[in-house]
Amino acid sequence: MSQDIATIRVTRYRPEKDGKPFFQDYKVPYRKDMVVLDALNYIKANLDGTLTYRWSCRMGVCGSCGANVDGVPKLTCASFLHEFKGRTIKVEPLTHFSVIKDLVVNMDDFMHKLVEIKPWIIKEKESPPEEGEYRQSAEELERYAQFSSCINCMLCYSACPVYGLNEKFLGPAAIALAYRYIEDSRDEGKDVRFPIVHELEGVWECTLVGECSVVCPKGVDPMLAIQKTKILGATNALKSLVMPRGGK
Amino acid sequence: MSKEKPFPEYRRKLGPGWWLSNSHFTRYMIREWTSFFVALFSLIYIYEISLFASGAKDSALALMRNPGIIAFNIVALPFTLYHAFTWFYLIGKVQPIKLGKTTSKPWQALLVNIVLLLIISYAVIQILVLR
Amino acid sequence: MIIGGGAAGLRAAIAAAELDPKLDVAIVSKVYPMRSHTVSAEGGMAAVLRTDYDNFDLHAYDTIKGSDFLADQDAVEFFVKEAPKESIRLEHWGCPFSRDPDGRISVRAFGGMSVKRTLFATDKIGFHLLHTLFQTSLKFENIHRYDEWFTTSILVDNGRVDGVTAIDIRSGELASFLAKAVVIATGGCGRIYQFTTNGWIKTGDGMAMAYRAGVPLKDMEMVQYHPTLLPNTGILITEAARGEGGHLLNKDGERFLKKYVPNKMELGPRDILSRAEMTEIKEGRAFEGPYGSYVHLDLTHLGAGTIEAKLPFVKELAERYLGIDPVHEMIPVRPGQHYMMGGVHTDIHGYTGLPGLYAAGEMACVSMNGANRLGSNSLTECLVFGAEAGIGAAQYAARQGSPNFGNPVQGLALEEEKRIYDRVLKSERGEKISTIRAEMQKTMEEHVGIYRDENSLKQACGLIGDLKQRMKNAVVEDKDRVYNTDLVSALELDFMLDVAETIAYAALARKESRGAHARTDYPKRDDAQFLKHLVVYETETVPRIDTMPVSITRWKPEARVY
Repeated sequence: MSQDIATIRVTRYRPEKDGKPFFQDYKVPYRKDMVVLDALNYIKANLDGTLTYRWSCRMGVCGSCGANVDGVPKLTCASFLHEFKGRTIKVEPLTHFSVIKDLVVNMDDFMHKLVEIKPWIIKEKESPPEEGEYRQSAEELERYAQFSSCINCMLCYSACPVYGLNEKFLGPAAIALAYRYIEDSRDEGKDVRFPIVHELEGVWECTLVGECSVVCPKGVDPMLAIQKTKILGATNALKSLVMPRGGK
Repeated sequence: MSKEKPFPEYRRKLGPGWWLSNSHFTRYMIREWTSFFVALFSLIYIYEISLFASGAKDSALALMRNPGIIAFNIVALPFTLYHAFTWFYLIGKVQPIKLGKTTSKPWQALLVNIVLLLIISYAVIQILVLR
Repeated sequence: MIIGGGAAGLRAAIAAAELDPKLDVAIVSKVYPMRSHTVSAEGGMAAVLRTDYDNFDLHAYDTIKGSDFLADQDAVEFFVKEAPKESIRLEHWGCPFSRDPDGRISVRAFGGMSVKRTLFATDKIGFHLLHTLFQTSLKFENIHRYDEWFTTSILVDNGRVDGVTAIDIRSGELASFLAKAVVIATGGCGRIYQFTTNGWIKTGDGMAMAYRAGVPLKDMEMVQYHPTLLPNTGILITEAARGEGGHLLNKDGERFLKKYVPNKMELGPRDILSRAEMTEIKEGRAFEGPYGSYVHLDLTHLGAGTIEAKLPFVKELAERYLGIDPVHEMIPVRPGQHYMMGGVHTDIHGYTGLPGLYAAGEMACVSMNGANRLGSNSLTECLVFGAEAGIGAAQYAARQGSPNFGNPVQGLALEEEKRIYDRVLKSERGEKISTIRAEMQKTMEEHVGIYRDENSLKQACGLIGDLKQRMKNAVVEDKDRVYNTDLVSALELDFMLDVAETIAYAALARKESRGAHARTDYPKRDDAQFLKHLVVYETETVPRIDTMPVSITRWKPEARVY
């Protein structure tokens, strides 16, 4: 099998040594089926053991290995080297997050936002398991299914200029997950979640850039979730205006 | 357990030219700017219609013949068209129409929106202009 | 205190937090919990929900027969009874299971299961299960998380567990956690092999830590090989692909399984299917490719509708990583390491025998999987025994006083600090971590693989012993403290070598073929001598092997024919 050489230009930031990041180039032999993550692993094993990045499943589902590849947020395990043939491949940490080291970013902010939207089934009383499952039709499942596919890889945050300009924005993934629970027929927590997603830094902060849905590696459409939440919120507000007492 | 950071994390800020880095962002920014023209055009238009409504038909026509207003309309037209295009492009995705159990595809929703637009426009022209 | 944030760890944390709201539960995990390798499970989870055609005895029998009668039958009986309750709980917590038209959770066929009893959420059950558990765990204010903390040792004082030492990966500092009870749930150790479905983080940390704390590892020779991995990457193509009707074909286009498991065909158990593929390869009826020999998985007759509705992830993986559309083309597959039946010895309640220490999930060995696990039993196992271990630990903690950070615990922690920072991190002249890791993986792949024999196992024991010596001088290139993945890799490799050694020694000691353990020099099952568990203890020199009886309640061992 033929081997080509790719030049990988990786952001290095070593807080104990460097005041600010710099680029370092590595030459990596590759085959047609190798991804950017394979190149990073090759570098770590053979060229430079100090290169630092997160990864685990290498099959696009654990969400660890996101980075900006050639300026676009991608899972490095799903970006093939041959697509960049002849060019230097720039691999940078996801944008809008502070960098802990090399490609490793700080995602505390999202972890807090995730808790804020209460991503669990809210029910007055959970029925005992002996009574069997809650029934759910295929259509009811379909309403939220795609939004439950978020792997929390942070690519959408990296792609969102609104989040880049205002860190307080709840952000695409968190809102998509909130919407996932709002639309779940088993959930009774809409009244609790609505104020959270409609806060000043919630859905109304979104100005329809739409890049979140472009970069999502799992086919989730966070922009859609945000707009649907806006519409739900607006109709709810209208209803409570028309029927102040208990119009639901 | 102490959580202080012994070494600083590196923070990056968006520079003023961030929207030039990606063609999607550039298109988005242009769309945002078109709002200015759409808003201004709408204000002038509402003012003209109000003149018609109050019977000051001549001053309304005079205003429409004003070279400044014509020039503005020429400039505003492409921006408004672009704005309308992005609007219809997004609306099909954002608000799919549900008919029973099937959900519309974006282009179907777009078609419904355009048809609705034509019907409403015709109604407005009938009621306000041609009555 | 829970070590590990996968299915078993999260389930244990929720169980403990629910049992006693005043109890402080900590989850210490080397990755954010939603990155845990549970995320990669695809096919489904087994539980008897359809009582019109299914029952507990049938599920138990299938599991025990699948295990080649090495499973502890009391554990299996407990498991099958708890499985439906745990699955329903998971549904109540929001898991987006695929549904039948009447709104019930759908079930599909799976290898070794005699009826349809595997619940699924398309072909991403592990992902959905993990995120459901993780997001549900956020509800509990008494669950505290230590994300990206790498546990390095279990602190044992006076015959009981007092806590653990762990590195905060972000700052690089070692800290001691004092805990009344500890549950370890760190999953498997697939990364000791070259060709595995397991993620990078599956390095047997918990197995090695418990082993070093004096707890025996059980059934370690029982390593499961999954029959359908993509040949270049080791990415798993779920058994559900066969459950939904996929066929395995050799290069003559023949469904070769008719020679091996004529009654079950593609729904035979994994150990037999993997060996069948190896036989086809050995006898020249496989395809040859740049990554070795392979056979075909044919889904083309299922149609686009079934594939998109029920196997979308298979389609995504085949398209992305091979450029193959499974609707029209065959998927090349070959067998590879997938799962550890063996692990830390526990009883039915997750108790390891060392006061204060509990274990659950893949890293534990209850043992309900015996010599071969049936597909889709493991996720349910994580829930059932995760909950048991969480409750057991919480009840134990309620009876205990708080441990003191005095001697000897403080001394142990200082010793650990010296080991990591003065020895592992400071070493200057020696080999790279990656060199030793690659040699270990090669050794395990070549000598402790699907087929084993005396000579090659003896070689493996020797080679791993050498690698352990070489590891003492291995060099960590990254000398920084902050987020030092090189240091973590070195500590992981140190764990993996211990675990690899126990596998090689146990495999050498079991002079018979049973389930996943296939000895070419002892091709028959030998119930007279080996209907028992092998347990491995750490010693100053080589591992010591002992035995434990197998619990047999109602199902007498019989020939295993499918």
